[in-house]
Amino acid sequence: MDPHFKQNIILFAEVIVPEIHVNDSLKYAFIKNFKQVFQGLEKESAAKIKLLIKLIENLSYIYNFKSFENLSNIEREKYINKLFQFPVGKIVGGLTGLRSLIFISYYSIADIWPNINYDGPINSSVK
Amino acid sequence: MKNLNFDIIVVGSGVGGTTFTDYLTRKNPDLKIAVIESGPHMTKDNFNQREIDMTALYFNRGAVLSKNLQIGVSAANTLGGSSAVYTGVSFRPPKSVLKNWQNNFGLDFLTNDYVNRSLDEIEREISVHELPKNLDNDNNVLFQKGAKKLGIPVKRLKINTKNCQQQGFCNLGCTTGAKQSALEVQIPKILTRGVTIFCNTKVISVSENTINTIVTDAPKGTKPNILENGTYQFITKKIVLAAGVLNTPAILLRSAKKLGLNNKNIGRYLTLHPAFNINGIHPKSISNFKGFPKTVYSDHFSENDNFYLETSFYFPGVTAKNNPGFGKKHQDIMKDYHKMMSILILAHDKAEFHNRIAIDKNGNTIVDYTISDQSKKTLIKALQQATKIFFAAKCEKVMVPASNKFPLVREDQKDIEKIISKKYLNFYKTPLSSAHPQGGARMGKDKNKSVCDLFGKVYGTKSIYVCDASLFPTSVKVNPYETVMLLAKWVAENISN
Repeated sequence: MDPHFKQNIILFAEVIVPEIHVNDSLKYAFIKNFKQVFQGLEKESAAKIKLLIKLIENLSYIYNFKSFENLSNIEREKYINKLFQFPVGKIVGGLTGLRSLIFISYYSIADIWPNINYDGPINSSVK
Repeated sequence: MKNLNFDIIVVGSGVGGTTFTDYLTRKNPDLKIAVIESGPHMTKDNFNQREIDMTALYFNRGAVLSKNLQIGVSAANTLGGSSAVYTGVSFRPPKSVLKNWQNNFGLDFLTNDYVNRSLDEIEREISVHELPKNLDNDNNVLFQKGAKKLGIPVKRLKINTKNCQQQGFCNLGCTTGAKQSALEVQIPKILTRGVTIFCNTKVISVSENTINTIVTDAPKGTKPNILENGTYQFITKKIVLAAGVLNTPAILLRSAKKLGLNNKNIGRYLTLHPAFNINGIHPKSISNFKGFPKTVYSDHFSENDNFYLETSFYFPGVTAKNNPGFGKKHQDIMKDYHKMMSILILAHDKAEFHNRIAIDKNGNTIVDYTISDQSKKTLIKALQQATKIFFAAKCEKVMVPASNKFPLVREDQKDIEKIISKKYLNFYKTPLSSAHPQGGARMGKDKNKSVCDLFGKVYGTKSIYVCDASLFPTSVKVNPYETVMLLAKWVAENISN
């Protein structure tokens, strides 16, 4: 995964699941999972996600006069919230799709399961 | 390009393709038959109940979105097709649907006698039965309590399992093989009868008696391929397309020119059985990720309001996706995952010409589907009813898409009709999904209004048949796999005649 793309995915994910912002091991586990899902996507879908990340970066200059990477956490959160109100439905649809991939990647981390009182796979042979 | 010869080739190893092959080989053991599957050869030994790994069972990791990005379609891309990932909920087609298919599409063979006789036999073979009440987990018990308080009748679901180990989830593959899917029933049978199954083999196009395919690597940890990577041409007397609704119409569209097909109905009349899965938070910890996830449902609203309510439950990632919003508030809600009660809403959508499977310039499937005003009305009514059931079951909070509040609390009960409203329904933000796509190669007597004749043969072709849910003239309104098996049996009986 391209380091710049990876960095922007992490920054976006920190707004969706703020816990990874303060926990490096979670961040590492998250990006490992995200990479697994992303690499399994069809070419067209992966390209659309890359395009969406590019758009998030470019719109940041218009909305915030700053790059996405240089926003503070609070600014980034406000900005992403604003994007979820964007007048073009397909942009919001894309953000919602990316949000789903982030949730799947994050909640597949076994270290998260005790926080939500999920015991993990029941069949002991697959734990 | 290398050539391979068979008497009959079936494209797709889900319940359509494998039930067809099962019935055909019973009476015709000498036929040389191949099944071509685009997904990998995975079995219960590959299933590990880990969400991140098991997304590999689905096309595009479960993220096939409609063209307008308003609905996501889940369809399996693995040996056994969607039967590898369904919950085993077994419904016969409703009588009213069969009557419509007879009266308006000419499917006269679906007499009560034929349907009952066929499904009695099919259900026996795949162990369809009601689960005993002692297998109801807390979610199923609470659904019944809530519905009873509101006077909503509840029925018990029939499931096709044997010795269910109550692992809580079925949608990422059954690790013990208790679910009597194509992986456990039809595929072992057809393999012993000498049928060859080619996995990781994608169909590019078909012409009369010929299938053009490409074989790619078997994913790590799955059974190795029979064929080396490359392009292959399969030569055969008859081709049976059972690749599922996302693929069968797309194969026909990619092949239309070669076949000289000019049928405007190919891909059309797609229905998706749009679904919301919503969650409420009960005051006590409940065992929803243990036991069997679905034992009861209500069809009380089916006739007048066009929806079913079923119990359900999903892994943490999908549950998070189904709850609205994101950020700290969302994370705090997820901390109550162990208290979450869950209801699945299934809306009956109408078969409309403009909803279709299309292809892009590279031949890839496009799901071109618009949610109708009628379906929006249905979904709102269903969300309101489900919310009432959550609160009647003593839930303290309910997370509902299409409301102006997140989460809803008990005090909101008096205003449910105002709070959950069409004006708050934004499909770009709400995770509407579909696991029951149907139509796109509809069966019918009138060749001007259909794609396939009453024996499943594609109008205008000599050797090409369809044998999956693409045949449905309209939505069957229930979980569709038994109806797919019923039609597969019919097509097999007639092709062998």
